[in-house]
Amino acid sequence: MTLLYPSHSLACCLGHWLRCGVVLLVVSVLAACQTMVPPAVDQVRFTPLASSKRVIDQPKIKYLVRPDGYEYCARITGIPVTPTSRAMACAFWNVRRKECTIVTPMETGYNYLGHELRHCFDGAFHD
Amino acid sequence: MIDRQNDLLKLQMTRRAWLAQTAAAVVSSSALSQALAQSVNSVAVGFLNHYPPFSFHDRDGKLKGFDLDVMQRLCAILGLHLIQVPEGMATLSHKLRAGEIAWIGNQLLTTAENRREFDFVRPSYASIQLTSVQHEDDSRDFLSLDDLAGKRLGVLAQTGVEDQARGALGKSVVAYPRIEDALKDLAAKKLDAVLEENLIAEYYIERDELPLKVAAPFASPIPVGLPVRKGHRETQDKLADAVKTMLKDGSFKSISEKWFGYDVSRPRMGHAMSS
Repeated sequence: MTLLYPSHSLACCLGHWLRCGVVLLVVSVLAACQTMVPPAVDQVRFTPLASSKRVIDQPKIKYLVRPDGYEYCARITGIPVTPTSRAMACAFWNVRRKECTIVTPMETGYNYLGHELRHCFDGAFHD
Repeated sequence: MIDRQNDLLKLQMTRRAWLAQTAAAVVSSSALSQALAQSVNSVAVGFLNHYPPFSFHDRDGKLKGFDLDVMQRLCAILGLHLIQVPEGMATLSHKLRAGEIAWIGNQLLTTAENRREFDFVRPSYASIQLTSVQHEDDSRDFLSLDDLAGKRLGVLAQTGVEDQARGALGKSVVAYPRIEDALKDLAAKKLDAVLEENLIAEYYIERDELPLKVAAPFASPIPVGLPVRKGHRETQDKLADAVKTMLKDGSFKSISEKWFGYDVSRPRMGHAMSS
């Protein structure tokens, strides 16, 4: 009886850790997918606007890489950070001064940077 | 016969008296503007009387402003003659409820409290956002209150912005009764930054030729809309259609460029989402 109980406990414990492991694995895969899969708008080709139709034709661009990049982009867009979705980068611009600033977190992707670069020329093209 | 004529005369006089009394009541009532507005092709629209650059009196006492120009255009689209009714907010609310004005010609915050009192026209025609304002020579990046720790920050007194800034930064926050004074101190480099709504800041920078720039957004765009009387769906729908027409036909862009130098109907920030 005394032997059975610890064995049963050990099996329970192993089962628990296995379940935890599977959950962690699924979460990791989902997180990786979230980071790796670009948004739909970034998976299509587009025809750049003629320079005369751009919001800013030749913007002066600043690129800020910030530890609070996700939080900042969430704050200025009003889009909350959730387990499945968040703003990965953002940009803001000043038409009169012909200036544009791109903000990303410490790690980013070519698609996100390219997306924000388009904002600097074309303004709010997908809103 | 004479009696009958007298009776008729009495009746006519009574009718005349009734008409005169009714006319007097209409003329003497506070609803004169409403009566005028209800004449063919006229509409009474309320405006805040001191809300620069949206509606305010110039030095000659004439009402002007960005919202006034926008309402002129909306009325032109609707085929209406605009009658301006400039008042304070409390009076405008009262007049809207009483039907003395058809709508308020300034976009207001669509807060839960305001939604209980008004219905709002969608879409809005200006993207308004709290932003940092900096000296044009200043290349520092202030994207959060943390970035402003130890810096002198100017804000409008007795606002939520002052409360939040004081909570985070304490005594380095300087509150001003008039935001234009904060902007003048920023231009004189007595402050490191000012927090203000982008369009108000743009207006004062342009008007006073200040060496300042509207810099980083600090919060998401503020949801705003034109307030109409609760339950007046027809007015709400007609105005919504007129706003869409104005945004599409290029006329809004002209008004916007006159006041701010660019099309303020579009957001000044964008983002890339994960999916």
